[in-house]
Amino acid sequence: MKHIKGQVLGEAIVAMGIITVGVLGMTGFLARSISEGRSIADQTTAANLAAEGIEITKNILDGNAIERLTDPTVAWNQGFSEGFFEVDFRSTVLTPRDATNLRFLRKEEIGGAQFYSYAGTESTTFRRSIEIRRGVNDSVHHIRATARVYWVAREGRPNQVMISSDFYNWR
Amino acid sequence: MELVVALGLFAVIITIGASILLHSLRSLRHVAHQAGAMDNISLAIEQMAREVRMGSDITPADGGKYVLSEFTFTNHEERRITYSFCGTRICRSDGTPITPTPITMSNIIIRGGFLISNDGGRKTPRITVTARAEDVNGNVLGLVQTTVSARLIHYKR
Repeated sequence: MKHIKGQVLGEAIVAMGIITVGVLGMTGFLARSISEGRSIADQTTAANLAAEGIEITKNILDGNAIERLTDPTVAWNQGFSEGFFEVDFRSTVLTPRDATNLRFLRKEEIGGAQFYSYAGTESTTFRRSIEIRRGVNDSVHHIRATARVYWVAREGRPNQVMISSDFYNWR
Repeated sequence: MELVVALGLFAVIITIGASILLHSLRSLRHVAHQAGAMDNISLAIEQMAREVRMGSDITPADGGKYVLSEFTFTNHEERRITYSFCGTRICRSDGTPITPTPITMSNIIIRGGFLISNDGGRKTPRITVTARAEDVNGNVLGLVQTTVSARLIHYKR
């Protein structure tokens, strides 16, 4: 069998090309998986922050119900005009806020534990709005609250989580 | 000579490729661990939130500005339940057994606390729970926070 000069080198280059394509393909796939996986932590945080927004809204409405027992002039939906608001875990009322100018939540250290609030010092990419709308069919006894949490993923992609809840004047 | 060059090139490419692949796999393992940790914390907080929403008699009713490591309440079955940060895990105790039962995995280090407030008695107690997950090397995997309050309103007449 005649040996052609450079044959081994040629074969090696072809083999390396095949291996390189395979490795690059697998690396691309893994990079995508890693990127998606990393966003899971942010999604979990955002979903819980959105749920917190609804829960605080509900707690403020319950406060109105308690006040109505001693002061019937307090409306069940006092402080719930239509619009966009901000709340954090300290809020006792909804704070009106322009939906295009939301503040970033910050990490606040209290007693060795970290909390998301507007009083913190460590910045995050999370912003939260609470939208209040009166019921479509019953604007007096029905409120719809929608909590949205916005954040920017590591690769710069904007993300959003949204939770809605309906509240009624049933008490 | 030609064989040596070919082998050399081949070895270099294989080494680079293998190291990239190994690094990616290590990152993937870390991300999988992170996803598992966040799932675990989410489930623990969800369990706590569901039980608190149906509960009553939260103690302390107002923790003020202090971060607590545990709180107790009466659940829908009239049992006194305590949730706590016990060591590096979140635990639940219903009094029997006295030893708190961990509800998070042992390979995740969880640090956090509870803040309880009721706006000076004008609102139902509101529990804010925060939990930060770390791996065994101290890398932060995520920080989850939520707030929950009981659906039963205890009126002060």
